[in-house]
Amino acid sequence: MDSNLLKYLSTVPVVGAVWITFTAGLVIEINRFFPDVLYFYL
Amino acid sequence: MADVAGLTPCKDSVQFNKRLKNSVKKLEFRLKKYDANTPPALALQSQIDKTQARFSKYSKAGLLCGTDGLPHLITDGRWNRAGDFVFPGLLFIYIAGWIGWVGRGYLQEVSKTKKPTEKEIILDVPLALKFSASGFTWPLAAWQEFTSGKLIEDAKNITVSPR
Repeated sequence: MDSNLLKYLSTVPVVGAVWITFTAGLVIEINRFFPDVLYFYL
Repeated sequence: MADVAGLTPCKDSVQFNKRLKNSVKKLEFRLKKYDANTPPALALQSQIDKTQARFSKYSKAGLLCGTDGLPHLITDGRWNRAGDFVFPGLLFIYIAGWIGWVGRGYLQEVSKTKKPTEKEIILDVPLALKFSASGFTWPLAAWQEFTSGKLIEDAKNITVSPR
């Protein structure tokens, strides 16, 4: 891959956007498969 | 157990069961307006199922309800209600500590390179990922650094204002 593109993808706004998107998706999926979580017992 | 702050177990709570009945009744009332097996009817039916599942889950979990018929979480740290708050709280601290620990590790590592400021703006992604992946042992790592004296700076290196 072009090193300039790689550099662009490594900038904080881009990495941050990817990370936040991933976290949002993770939280949405957790809520889909485990809805209405109010407590945490093992 | 039931005698926490005047709360009753949800499964025995009159108001809690009334809430269940009311919620389901409202949804069934809306359900009647649609023909069976149409998309809105199916959506409402699944909402009814979810509502019943939620109420039965909360009553089986032994949650305590107030006179408002809503579950109340006990956050005073008593062990038999640890799942209400203590475990989620510890999980939060663990995850927050993980993030903080790997961020600290990354910053300390890049501060040894030639362009530390640039590496805070243009991340060294493979290095950052390496830190993130190893961060799950952070409580042990932090304890180790504390006992070996690496975690905190010597008092003589801490700047103080002129006095």
